Amino acid sequence: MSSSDQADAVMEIKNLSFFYGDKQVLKSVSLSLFGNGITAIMGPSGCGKSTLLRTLNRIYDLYPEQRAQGQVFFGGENILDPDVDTAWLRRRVGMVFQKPTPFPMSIFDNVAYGLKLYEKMPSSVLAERVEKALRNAALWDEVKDQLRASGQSLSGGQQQRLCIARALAVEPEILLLDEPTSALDPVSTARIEDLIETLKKNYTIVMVTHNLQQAARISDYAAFLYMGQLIEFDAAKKLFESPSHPKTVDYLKGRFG
Amino acid sequence: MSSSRYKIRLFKDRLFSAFAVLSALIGLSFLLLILFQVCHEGLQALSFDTFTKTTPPPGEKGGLANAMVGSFLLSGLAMLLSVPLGVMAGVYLAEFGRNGKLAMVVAFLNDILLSAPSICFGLFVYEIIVLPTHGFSGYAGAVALAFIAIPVILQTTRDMLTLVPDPLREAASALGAPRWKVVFTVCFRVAKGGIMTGILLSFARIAGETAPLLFTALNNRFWNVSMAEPMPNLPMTIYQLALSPYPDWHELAWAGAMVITLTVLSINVLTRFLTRDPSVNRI
Ligand SMILES: Nc1ncnc2c1ncn2[C@@H]1O[C@H](COP(=O)(O)OP(=O)(O)OP(=O)(O)O)[C@@H](O)[C@H]1O
Ligand SMILES: [Mg+2]
Repeated sequence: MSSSDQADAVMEIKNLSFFYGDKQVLKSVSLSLFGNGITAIMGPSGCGKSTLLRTLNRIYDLYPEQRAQGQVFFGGENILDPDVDTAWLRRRVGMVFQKPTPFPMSIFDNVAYGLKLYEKMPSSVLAERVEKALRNAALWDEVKDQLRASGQSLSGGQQQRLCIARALAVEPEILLLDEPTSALDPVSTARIEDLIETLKKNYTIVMVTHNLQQAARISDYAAFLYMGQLIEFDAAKKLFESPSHPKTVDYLKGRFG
Repeated sequence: MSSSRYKIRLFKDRLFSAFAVLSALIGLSFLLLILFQVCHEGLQALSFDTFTKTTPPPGEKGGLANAMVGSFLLSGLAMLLSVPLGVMAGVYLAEFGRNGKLAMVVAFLNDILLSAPSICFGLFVYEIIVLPTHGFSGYAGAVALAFIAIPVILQTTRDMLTLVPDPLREAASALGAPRWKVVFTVCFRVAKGGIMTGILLSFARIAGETAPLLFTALNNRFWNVSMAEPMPNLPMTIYQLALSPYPDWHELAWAGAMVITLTVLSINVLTRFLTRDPSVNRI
């Protein structure tokens, strides 16, 4: 990427290294995330894709033996700085995991969970916000008559959209998706892909995927990670049509991964 | 060639199964015998008076009302002490300490406490409460019982929380929820069935304990609801009635034994029922 593009980067990752105990998993990764677009993160299994996502909202903080080095600039702050308020960060950087993780509570309460953390609001406003999030996640029509039913009673694809709705409800700026469709059937996958495409109008989306067709179909930017190193990062069209690094070529041809 | 070997194997297998079934039957039959005996004798002795009158003087008829109420108060206070402590310590081990040094040490000590003979707790409380306060009391008894319940509650809380999958914690944290909120609003919801079971089982356990009360709550023949006094309680009362030379007292002991056995039994059945309900203990 040329340096002029960096001006409108929503998030800038600089020389990011990551360690699980003594084991280094990311090696000086630098990359920028651009607004209102989908950045696909690709690479063979174990190359550090999930790890990269997990640094961007500092969720690795939960585990004392994990640590990150380098800088990640977002909203004028280096979010790796221990003084950064992680509640502030996580409100702005939402995350959806590979396997759906509905909380053991009603559909409504699942979506309201994040909202209640940050604001006290009258129940009518809360209901509106929940409805809006469910609509944004293309789930409203399917669940509007059973908002009190358990979130865990939904199908896998519905659960994943519930998790997306839950993340959207607090109106983040960036949405991190870690293989959001890998546990789902083709129909649910297509629905979620459509959903992600509509979401990019309002959100900066980073999506880890193993599915090259999926990445080619919906992403605007694409990054290729290999053994913890960023091999190539470019506009998706460019990376898929004329990759510049031989490793990327091999990966796209399916030689590994 | 293999058919003879196969037969030998089959024979061994059958022998082993038969042995296992036999052992189970022997164990079970003793249990049933005890239950039968207790109910048989207990039912004959049981009357309305058992629930309304207090422990009688030697040779007279009476009831166990004071002992039942006393036992209930002792166990109740013990639960009030042990549930918060046990649950919070379990939360610490499963959620915060995890594999830290302190957590390992606490978990190890807890294992020891779990298998410590209950009379030790009685002696310990005798030393730290009864002697300094110059008297047996309900408080001392409740503390001794609490010492027995805490390790059980701690262990189940920790085990149940450990079963909660990490992705669920991560998902709540990723929304910005602070650690304690994740535990109380998400993890507890998943684990509450199991934790309730632990609490009820520990209640059942302490309701029938005699040894820890021996040097702490002692016993009391009279009606008493003051925790500062020696406290009437069923296990000790049964023990004293049974050792007496009076047939009336023996009868009453059987009635008490039945009441206690059936109470403990029904708590156990209730917990089984609770844990079987799939909506309660869903993971
Ligand atoms: N909690 C952990 N402790 C130690 N090592 C870990 C841990 N989590 C991941 N790793 C290691 O870090 C490396 C990168 O893992 P990561 O999960 O980021 O890979 P990934 O690219 O997301 O792979 P996949 O496509 O299989 O999801 C792997 O070698 C993995 O074994
Ligand atoms: Mg991964």
